[in-house]
Amino acid sequence: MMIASFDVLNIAAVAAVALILGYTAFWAARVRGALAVPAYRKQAMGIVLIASVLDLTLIGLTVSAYVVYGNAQGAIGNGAFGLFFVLLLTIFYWVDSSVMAARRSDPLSRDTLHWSKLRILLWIAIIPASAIVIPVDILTAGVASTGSPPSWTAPFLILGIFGPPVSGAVMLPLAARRAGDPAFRLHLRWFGLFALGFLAGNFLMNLQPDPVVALFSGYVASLAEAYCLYRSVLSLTPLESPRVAVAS
Amino acid sequence: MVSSGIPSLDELLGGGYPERSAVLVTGPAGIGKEALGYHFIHSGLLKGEFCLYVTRLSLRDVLHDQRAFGIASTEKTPMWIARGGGQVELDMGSLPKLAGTIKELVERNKGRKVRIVTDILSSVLMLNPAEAVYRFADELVVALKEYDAVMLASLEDGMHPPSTQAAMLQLFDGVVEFSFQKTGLRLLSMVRVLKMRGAAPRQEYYTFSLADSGMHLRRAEERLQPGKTTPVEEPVQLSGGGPAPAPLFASQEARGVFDYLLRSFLTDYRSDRLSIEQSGWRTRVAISESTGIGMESFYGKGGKDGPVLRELISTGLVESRLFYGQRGRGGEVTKVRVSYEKELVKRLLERASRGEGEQS
Repeated sequence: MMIASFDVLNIAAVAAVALILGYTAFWAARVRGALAVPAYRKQAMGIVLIASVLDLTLIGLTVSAYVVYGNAQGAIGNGAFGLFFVLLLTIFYWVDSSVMAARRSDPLSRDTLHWSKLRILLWIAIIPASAIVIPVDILTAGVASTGSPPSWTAPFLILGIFGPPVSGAVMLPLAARRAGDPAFRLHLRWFGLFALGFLAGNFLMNLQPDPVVALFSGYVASLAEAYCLYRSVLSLTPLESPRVAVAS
Repeated sequence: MVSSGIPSLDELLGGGYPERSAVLVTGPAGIGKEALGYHFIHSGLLKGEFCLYVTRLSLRDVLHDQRAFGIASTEKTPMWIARGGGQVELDMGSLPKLAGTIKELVERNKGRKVRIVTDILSSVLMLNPAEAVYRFADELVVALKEYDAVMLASLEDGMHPPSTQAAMLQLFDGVVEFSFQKTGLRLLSMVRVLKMRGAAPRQEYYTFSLADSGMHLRRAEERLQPGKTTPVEEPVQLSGGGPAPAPLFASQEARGVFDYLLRSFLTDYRSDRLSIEQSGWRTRVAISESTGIGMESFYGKGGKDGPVLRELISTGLVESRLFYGQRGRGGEVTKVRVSYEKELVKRLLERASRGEGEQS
């Protein structure tokens, strides 16, 4: 009975987070469609990809957990690894497009830390890292395993895991400071909260000894992070100009 | 009229932009206001006119955007003042020098029809004092009227204080405004002509789309017309006339008071020969009595300013100050006047002053 109640709540929580993420992806696509300048369209596309990959990961893991294992915890281990790398790639896509969009808003069009060249090197490094880790992980670990990938993948693993967030943490505050666009800064602020929610969720899940409490702590954080991602999308297109606001 | 290069916009404008005019295009970043400039230049090139593009971007970035907007490249190219790749390197550090370069290029093509597009206003506003930018823009707008030229300048919405934005709108002959509007599950890109010299003010919104075949405008459905926005098209009427002023205040009362304060300043300074520091100050009671606008517009609850006074002060074009020892038995009194040191106010005063001279 306890397990049944837990499962119902689990599915309800997953459905709620998945709905918000789906709605976020939908609006990000709408925003992308409304924007005309390629630099800003790519930035919106980054959010479409992040929200979609997160959504698919969440739904895929939950469905596979119940179908293959019959409970919630089964596949949340190595199976998530490959999707986690895809998510990191999409985050790097968003970081890259955001820095380029910020440059467009910079009155002096400064190439922050030579990003136009650095980005090419990072793409060349991160894509193969992910391309190697993901298949190796799937081939060696398989669906049922909860083991770790082979040790020789460690450098690729480090590059793939730390490349996108570190480049974002370094580049985006600098780019935002130089850009004069308040909409861009608001977008970054909400995305930062989303990232914090993501980290907090993982931290809470690992901190709790009780798996049920851990899972629900993670879902609470996921709901918050999904909402922040949604707000970050809306901030890309300011809906009221200041002049209209003055007049209203 | 000078064709905008976009048939549906020409139709809306009654044939195109007015001859010898300067038009400001405002809107949030990324919405595509650049498209107006690209089509305008493209159309001019096809007609063999002299086209000048002044951009804060590199030539490569602009050409990339043009392709994305579906604008085909032509054999003829405009003269570029750009950050990189143009015939002239852009230097936003010295606005008088930049204005001089633009005027020199136009002078060299005197006798030809000239089209100028620029996207540097927001950047120069971030890098220079607002007053210097007003001077730069006003100097260009006035100078270009001596030639057969039409200038299209874009300004980013939301990057500057509302008072700066309002002041910029005031300087141009026409204003085209872009905005996003969310309705249900749709996000629409909208455009409207806020004002255009020689045309009746129009407030209706149009949705627009960019495609390979060009830019297409379509009248927005009635229910999408934002009802809560107070029409702001009615201009401040100065005794001196001059070019059609832009929307500056949301309410009729604020416009009336601003006009009264301008006249008061001129009366004090020119007729009564007071010093600039002493000119134009009026008490709220005096303003209310002279304009016929209720006292509640100037006095709010709890000792605060009333709504009209708040609106005027929020634009930065009107200031208030306490005067001590001028009420009854030596009490203090608040007085209000136009902010004379603001470039825009100076220009409005000059125009009003010229008008009075002509009338007399």
